[in-house]
Amino acid sequence: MSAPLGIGVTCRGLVYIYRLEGYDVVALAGVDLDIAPGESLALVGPSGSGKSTLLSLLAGLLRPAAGRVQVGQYDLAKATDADLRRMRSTDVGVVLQGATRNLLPYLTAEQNVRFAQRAVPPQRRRELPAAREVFSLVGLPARGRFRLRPASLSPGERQRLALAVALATRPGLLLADEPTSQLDSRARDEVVAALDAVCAGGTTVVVVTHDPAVGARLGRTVTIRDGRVGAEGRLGEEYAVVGRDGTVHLPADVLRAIPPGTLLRVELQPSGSVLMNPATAPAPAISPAAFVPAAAIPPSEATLEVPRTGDGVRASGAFIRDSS
Amino acid sequence: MTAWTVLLRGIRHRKGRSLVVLLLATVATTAAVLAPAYGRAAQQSVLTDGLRAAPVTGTSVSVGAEGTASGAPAAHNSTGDAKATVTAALDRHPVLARLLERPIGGVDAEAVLRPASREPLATRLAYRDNVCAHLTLTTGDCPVDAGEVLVSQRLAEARGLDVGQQLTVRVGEPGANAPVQRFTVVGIYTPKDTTERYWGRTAYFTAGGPAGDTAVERVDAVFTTAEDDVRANELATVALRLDYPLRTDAVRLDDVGRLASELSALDSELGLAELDLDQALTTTLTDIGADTGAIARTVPVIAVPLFLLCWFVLFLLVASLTEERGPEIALAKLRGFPAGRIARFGLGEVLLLILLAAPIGVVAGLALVELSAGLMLADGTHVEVRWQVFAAAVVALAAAGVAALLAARRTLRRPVLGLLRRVPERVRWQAGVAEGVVVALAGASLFAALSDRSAPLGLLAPALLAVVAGIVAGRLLGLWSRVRLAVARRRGRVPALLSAAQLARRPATHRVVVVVTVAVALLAFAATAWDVAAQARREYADDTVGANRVYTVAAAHPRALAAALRRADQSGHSMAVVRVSVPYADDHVELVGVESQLLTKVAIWRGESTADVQRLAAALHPELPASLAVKERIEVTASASGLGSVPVRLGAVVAAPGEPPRTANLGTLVSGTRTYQAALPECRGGCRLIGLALSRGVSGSAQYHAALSVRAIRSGGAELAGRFGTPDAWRLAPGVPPAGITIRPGNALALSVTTAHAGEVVVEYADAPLTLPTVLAGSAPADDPHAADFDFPGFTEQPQAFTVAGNATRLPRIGGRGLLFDLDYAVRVAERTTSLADITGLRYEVWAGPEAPADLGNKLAEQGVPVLRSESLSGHLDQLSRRAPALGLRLYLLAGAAAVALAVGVVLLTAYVGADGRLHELAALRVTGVRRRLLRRGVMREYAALLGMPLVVGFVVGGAGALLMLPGIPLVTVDRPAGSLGWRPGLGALPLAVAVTLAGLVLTVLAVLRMLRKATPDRLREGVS
Repeated sequence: MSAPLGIGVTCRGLVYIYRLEGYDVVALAGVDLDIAPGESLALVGPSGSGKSTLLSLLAGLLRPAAGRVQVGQYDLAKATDADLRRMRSTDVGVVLQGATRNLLPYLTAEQNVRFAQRAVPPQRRRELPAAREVFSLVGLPARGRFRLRPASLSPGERQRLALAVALATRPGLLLADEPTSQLDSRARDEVVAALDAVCAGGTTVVVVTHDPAVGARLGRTVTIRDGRVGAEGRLGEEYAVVGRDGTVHLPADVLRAIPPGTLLRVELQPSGSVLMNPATAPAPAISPAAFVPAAAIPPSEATLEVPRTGDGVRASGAFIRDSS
Repeated sequence: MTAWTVLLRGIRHRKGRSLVVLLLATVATTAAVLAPAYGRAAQQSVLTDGLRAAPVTGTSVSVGAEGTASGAPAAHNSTGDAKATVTAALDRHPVLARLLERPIGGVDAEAVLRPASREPLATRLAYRDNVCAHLTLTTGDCPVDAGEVLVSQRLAEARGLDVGQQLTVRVGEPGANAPVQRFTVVGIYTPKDTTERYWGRTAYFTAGGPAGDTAVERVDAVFTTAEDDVRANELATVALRLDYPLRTDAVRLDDVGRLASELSALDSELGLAELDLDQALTTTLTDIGADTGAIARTVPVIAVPLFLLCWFVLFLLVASLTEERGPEIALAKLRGFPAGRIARFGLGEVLLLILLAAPIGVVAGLALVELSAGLMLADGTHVEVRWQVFAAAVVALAAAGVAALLAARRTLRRPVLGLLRRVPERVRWQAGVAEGVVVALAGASLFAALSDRSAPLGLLAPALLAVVAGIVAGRLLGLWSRVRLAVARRRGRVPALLSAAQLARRPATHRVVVVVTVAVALLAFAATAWDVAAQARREYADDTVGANRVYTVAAAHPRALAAALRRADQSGHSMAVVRVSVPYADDHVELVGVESQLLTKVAIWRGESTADVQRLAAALHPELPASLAVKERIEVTASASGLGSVPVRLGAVVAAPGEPPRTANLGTLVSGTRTYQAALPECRGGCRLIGLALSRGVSGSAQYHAALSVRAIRSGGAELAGRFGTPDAWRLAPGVPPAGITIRPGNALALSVTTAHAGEVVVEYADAPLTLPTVLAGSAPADDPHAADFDFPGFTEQPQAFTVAGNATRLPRIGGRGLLFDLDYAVRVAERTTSLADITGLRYEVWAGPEAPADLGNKLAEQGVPVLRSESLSGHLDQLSRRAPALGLRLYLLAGAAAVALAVGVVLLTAYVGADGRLHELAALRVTGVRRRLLRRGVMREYAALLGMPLVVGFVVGGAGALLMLPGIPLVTVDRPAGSLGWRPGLGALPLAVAVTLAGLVLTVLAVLRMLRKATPDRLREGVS
């Protein structure tokens, strides 16, 4: 199977609001995210943080309330329904949470893959990989599995089949929602290996997961918290992400050392790094009402506000604000 | 892999639902096909029944000419020539040629025959094709040569004729001076069946009574096998007839219009050949057309609501199935399928099943009609496969396609994430345009129905009102469910909460309620109408037939009929009846004499209880002494005195059965006691002594005197119980002036006569009432319509005194205008002056109760009383059940049953569709600790509300619709609206409909509960279905 061209994703100030009966819920409150073509990314975060919503937006299943989201050549905020349909038929593959939701139970494994390929215009269908190739990409043995129905496969095989179906049209972007949920460790490993192979093939992969192993294997993790990008992990390293309003989510271990309410002196170093020291000197003149006793703020809710002082980020002080 | 692979695999994967879809679509197509197919078959049945029931004169076509050789030459041609002329004409009229049987040629003429030494007799000298095959030759052979004839057994016995005797015949009217022809009697016949079509319109067997205005007695026809014998006298009026019987079973509906036009054209063509066409077929067909037209109007009225219901059911069906396939449709959208492909994917399975159901439905509909034809319609009626049937199927298919598209539209347009939601979005039901249209139409139809129940829009009122009731019931159920939900939440009642939540939230609830309400209302209307109509038919049959069986017979006179009946049936469950129709004031009054002591056992008298009938019967037959019977000789012992110069003759007035009364001369009175006697040769079989007569022994007008003391009357070796000592046992006969005449009872009957009366002074034995008690239906045929006593012609043309012994709304078999009296007393009264055998207007019947012998007809024939026609209550009911109103109501019942079947299917399908999700929810509830018993109770409560409310509302609305519409709908015959309804609850279609509907819905609920047993925690594992 020839390597697909990975598709890049760019989100700027992405906002999505769920309009329910009598009230609105802001699911995404301004997400900025860049995914390079061919990159693999895990979206992590607490339940209700907006991960699946972001995935749905990237798949063109929801329209952003505000902001911009570019998936390959498609500006999803401006794309028509036909554009979105075309995008999903050729460029974006989606794996829903729960393998069976991605499969037609009355078709065989092979037929499910070919069913997905039928969305591609006939003139381009010849270029698509054969079902066996797609199977081999996700590590599914064709022999003995081709003609089985999803119910006859093991849970791991079923999930890999779901991946295969999403990859049937050789998309440049694969979006998977919780691909390893409800799987035992062996099945999970099989799925993770499949994702590895997909990544290695050049497809941009974005996975929503609660599984740290998946995140670790994908190399980059983006933590979504309160509808925003809170942190990122790359190659095992965890990074805080500075939001567009200057907020930074501190990792939990840092918050244990520097509890909320702590005044920090933030100094930009000549090397480009930022030094944050707990202030022993009197804090800068700031309204006492802005201070909240650190003990009252749970660590996960603590946000470091670095006051802007014009060009650069030279700060003479900072404090921990309760962001709940 | 093609789209067909996905489609067929999907159907197989959902084989249960697919089968239900296929069945429901088949039922819908069957219902659409049923209307035109059944309507056509019913019309054909009515046509066939009507033609079969019509008399020969109403269906056959007769061609002929009548006249002398110079005035009507065609009449003096041979029948062969006439047949050739008609055949040539018929070649130009293919429908007539196909439907008319081979002609039966006949030539006849009035003739006077004179047996040796006997008075002349009027007859018809007749030739008829193949006549001997239709006669039983009791003696002799069929004529072979000219000059040979057959005479009837009646004539032979009455005039002492035998084979070999010569007959002198003058062909022509009595009194005309026609040349004499001599014939030899070679055979004596009795007709095998005087009512068979073969005899056509000519009355060959009309013995008795004078011929026309002459005093010459008429006798049965004399048959010859040589046409020329009839035409021998060119001056005689000869009638040539070709009778063409109709092949009634071959007449199709499409032939009716052509028949009328061809008959008209044939009439013109034959007129050029001086032949007359005589037919009443067009009138018969017009009368039948009223019934067939009624069916043509009724069927669409039944078909439209059923079709709409089927359409709505299909709509629900497709909506439910498409909704269930939401996740699959979401997948197709997720993969980027274009809109057209998504529609094909989402609808393809259903549309294919609907398409497959079309031919199955057509075949099923035709088979159902064929089955109905075999069970309910006239023999020989079959379903006709016509283009209208296929057109109905195509329309149904197209409508189904439109329904499918409309139903699936909402689901197909939902976004991917909406389709993947497990909990459906709450649907707010707003007063849609469709509901508004239905309500407006219902209002308009109700208004139309109240103004004119027969208006087409008015006929749709019950169905439209049922739809409105269903819509309202659905809304009320939704409202009630939301209230119950809130209450159950507060109180923590799990079963109530589960059931109310399902009812309040599920969009299918409203739809199911509408469908079930409409279906039950249709069935209730149909069942109520059927029961009311069945009762109306029963009453109509009771009124029309009057007894369990009625035989129309030929009898010489009433006493002969009564005697023959006693010999034929000793069970006492049959009675002799004599009827006559008397013209009065531009109408007729029917007089009927019955054996009143048998009324309660035999007659069906609607509106009168058994006690009432007994009371009336007793009033009709007050106690009177039995008649005095005399044999061949009568002796009167009497003492005469006070005789004057004018001799006085004593006579005995006797009447032999069927003979006019005559006075037997006992001799001239002489003073003193003496026995006066006379021979009564005609009384060998027994006569009735009407009375004693005194008359002037010589001609003149002088007054005469006599005092007579009658001591004894003897006959047949025994003394008659004259009851001389009983007051009023003997009275002066009506019409005799009473002045100068006294009658005194005592040890001897003392008569004193001083009169100049020219006629006989008859002192009659009072064995007959002076005024005949009668039960009157309608107004009295007198100047005063409320008169209790009036004179009116009875069996004779003489005025008869009647007294009203009782009034009734109707008389059995007679109807609302007539007089009913005791036959024996009426005959006794009539016999005083007339021989009833000479009265030609009398009609003789035998009415039999259910316990009379089944072969009573044969037994009567054996006793010399041939049966001309027989009717039975069951046969009449059978005929009525094949008239247009009954056939229309049967279709209503079929439609109602189909509607309920559809409703049950909808309920089942609604349960099965989305069963996975429901089972998942119930499994999850079980995992959380809710007990299975509570879940079961919740489901039962849910279905009790979902089905119970429409069941009750449906039956109420259906019944109300029936009350509204039935009085204006013909229930028995098309010319009579029902009027006021007198329905009595009983075991009929309505209770059966209730039971079947209830059973169907209960079984449905049990099926659903059985399905929900699969809600086990295992279901929550990934991949388990």
